[in-house]
Amino acid sequence: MYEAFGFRLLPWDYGVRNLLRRPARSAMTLFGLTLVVVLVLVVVGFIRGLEVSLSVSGDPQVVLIHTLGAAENMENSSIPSSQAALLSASLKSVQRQQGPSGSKVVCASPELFLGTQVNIDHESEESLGLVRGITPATPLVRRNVQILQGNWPGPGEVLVGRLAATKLGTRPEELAVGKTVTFEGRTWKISGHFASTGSALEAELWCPLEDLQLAMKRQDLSLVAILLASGADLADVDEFCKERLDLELQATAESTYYASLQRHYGPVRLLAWLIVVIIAGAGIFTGMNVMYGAVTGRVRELATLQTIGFVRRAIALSLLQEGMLLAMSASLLAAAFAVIAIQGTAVRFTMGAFTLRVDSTTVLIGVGVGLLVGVLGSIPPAIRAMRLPVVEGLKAI
Amino acid sequence: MFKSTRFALSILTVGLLVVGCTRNDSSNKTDPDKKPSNAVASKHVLDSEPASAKGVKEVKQQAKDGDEVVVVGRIGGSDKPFTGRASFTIVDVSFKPCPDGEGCPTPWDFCCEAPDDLAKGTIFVKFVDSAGKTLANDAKALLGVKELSTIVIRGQAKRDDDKSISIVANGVFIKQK
Repeated sequence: MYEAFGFRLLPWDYGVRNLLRRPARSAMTLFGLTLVVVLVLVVVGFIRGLEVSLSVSGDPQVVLIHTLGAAENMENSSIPSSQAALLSASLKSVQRQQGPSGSKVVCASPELFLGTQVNIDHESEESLGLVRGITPATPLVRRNVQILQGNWPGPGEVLVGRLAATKLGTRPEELAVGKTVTFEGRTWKISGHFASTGSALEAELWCPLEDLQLAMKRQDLSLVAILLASGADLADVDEFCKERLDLELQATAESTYYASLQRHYGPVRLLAWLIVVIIAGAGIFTGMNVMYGAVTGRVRELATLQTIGFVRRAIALSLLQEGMLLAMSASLLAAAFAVIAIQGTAVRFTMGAFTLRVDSTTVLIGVGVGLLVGVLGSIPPAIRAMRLPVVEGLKAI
Repeated sequence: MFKSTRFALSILTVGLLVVGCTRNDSSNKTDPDKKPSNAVASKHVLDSEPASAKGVKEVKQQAKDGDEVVVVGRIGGSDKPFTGRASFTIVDVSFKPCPDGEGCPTPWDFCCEAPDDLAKGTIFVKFVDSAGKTLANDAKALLGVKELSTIVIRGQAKRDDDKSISIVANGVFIKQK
């Protein structure tokens, strides 16, 4: 005997058996709800992937020094190459590491960064890729970079980011070590692959700075990325740039740069959340429709339950239980599918590429939406069941 | 009776949660309109305007390293003229900020002026301690100034080479907040 809330409940397995009594309809409902939760997980995974990619991209210890007014678009920045040496010598707040034979190595990375047309293995179709000219000092500043395969690029070579293939709209095999890509009128041999903890850098192609300058017939740099010494902060570099107004430089914390990109993609995220709401709404109506069907088809059964002594609230609760069971099963199936099939899928966007993230937050939101669909979809049919007159119900065909 | 007590308790709980969860940011905010009152500020903020103030352009052209200077200017020259310490840039008063009607969110960057002209009429000002290090206090809170404040700076010119000049200030008179 099940009793709670001051009245006798229908047995728990009654609801379960009811679902199994109509296997085809239950399976179809389960499939529909699973599809709804999968869609929610894909969209939330997209939002989470974008957010996480941009948030891990900014190292709080790294400051980007660029041209005045280029804080939101580094590709437009242009500073003379000579200023890299000047900054390394003048800035006391840059970290210095022990180098070979007792010398100090300044953790400053002069870089040339641009978006350009990249041709893979001389195919006729070109794609827009992100290229960064780097030096051997770059890993001192870009501390999260790891070479996954191959070697650091030598002359005429290029190191390919883990997500560069997605950014270029091609298959990863096309960018295998030893293959070639063509950009800026020169063919570059792929020397290796790198990862960078899921940051925006992973969508880039890295080649030696001097080679890139030569290929582009450019003498300038886009930026100098510096690693701050312990105890130093952005204000130290900012003061230098403001004091040396003749250099026309500006300092931006790397984390601030990527935070501004986050703001830039705000409307995209808002739209994605709107899609989540629409999908959830559609799921609620689907669930409601199915549960209404279940109530209509079981009028006599529900009336009989009342006749043998179950109160209307107990019957409504049993219907709610059925809806919840279906929704929760669908949520679990969808979460398992998302973790196996969707997690890590690469997506291309203007600033590079990122992977869909089906992490604990995504799963929590997806399952939460599934639960909501189950509850909200079952309440109106349950209310309808409570209002059915017993005598009319018993006479129903 | 019981219901109304329970209702009142619920309202009280929700109220406490709302009050408890509201972050009080007042300690982090700086109110430039509030007159600075601490000892460090009073040392730097002047009660009367120093005489014979020159424009930023004039000082940049004429001042030599170590010269005592009095310069009048407006805080600005970029979207972030303050560094977060007791230092900032000022521009010549001849420059006009973008008119209100143009919808410029940062009129103190004087983006309507030619960049080359603006660079010639902008100078960096800093307040330093006895060791020559910029004071860690934010100039906004320390001196009670904000973007576009018109101020008169008294200090010493510091010229590193032919191109770079800044002012190590020892006093500021706030003409217009």
